[in-house]
Amino acid sequence: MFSKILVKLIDQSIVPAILLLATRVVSIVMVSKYFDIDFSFNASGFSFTNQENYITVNSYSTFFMIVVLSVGLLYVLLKSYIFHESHITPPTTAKLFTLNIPILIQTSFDIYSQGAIWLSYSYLLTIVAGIMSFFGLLFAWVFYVALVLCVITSIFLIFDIENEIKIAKGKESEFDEQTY
Amino acid sequence: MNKLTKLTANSLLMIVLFGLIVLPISTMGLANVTPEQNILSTESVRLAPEDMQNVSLLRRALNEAERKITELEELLEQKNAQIEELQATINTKQ
Repeated sequence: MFSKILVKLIDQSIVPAILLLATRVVSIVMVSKYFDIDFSFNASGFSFTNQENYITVNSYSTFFMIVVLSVGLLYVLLKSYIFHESHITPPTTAKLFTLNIPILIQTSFDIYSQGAIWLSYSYLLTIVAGIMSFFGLLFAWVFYVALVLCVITSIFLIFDIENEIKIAKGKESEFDEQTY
Repeated sequence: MNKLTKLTANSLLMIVLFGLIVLPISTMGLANVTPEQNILSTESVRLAPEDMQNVSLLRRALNEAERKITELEELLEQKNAQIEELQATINTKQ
């Protein structure tokens, strides 16, 4: 009844959602403590009495979210380039089995669904950071960092998908040759 | 019917997915600046009971001061009238 892709995407989005939410809340508190900035917590969220304080906390907190996103995206890229089931090298496979972590070897469906989720968070964060930066609610450099992360990870993931298509086509032609 | 159930189920899944993706990003609006009107407007100012007592004392003192000012103004008018009378008497005697 349920779409397999949608269920997989929901399954993959729970962890990053909780992680990003926790990062935002914890980083606001930590940054405020670090810069000795007073804040109050009410129904509308964290309230700062000063615009400058708000911009500082907001910028660094968003930056921490970007850091968490980059770690997640790097993990996905690492899996897609090194531990991808379709093109993992035999020595790496042997090593992973020796270390008892064969769970790292994943299929394209797992990796790309995870990548799609992390990338969508990255795109959304970049868009929101851009809007905030435009209205002067965020340091501009935070937006540029998010943009660079977004572009680089997208390019690398596209390269891997292209590679995967090539491998799939190669396999198809192999089957064709066998048929003839 | 089967198709409709499938469509509804998948739509619900899409809404859940959308919520899961948007929720963490929406926390970017979690921090905000205390609006200026909250500081300036009297409605949003909540005073402690002892401060409320001070306010009522000050209000009473203000009323008293206003009453005294009115009395003094009346007295000043009377004195001015007396001065004028005296001035007129002096003028006639001269």
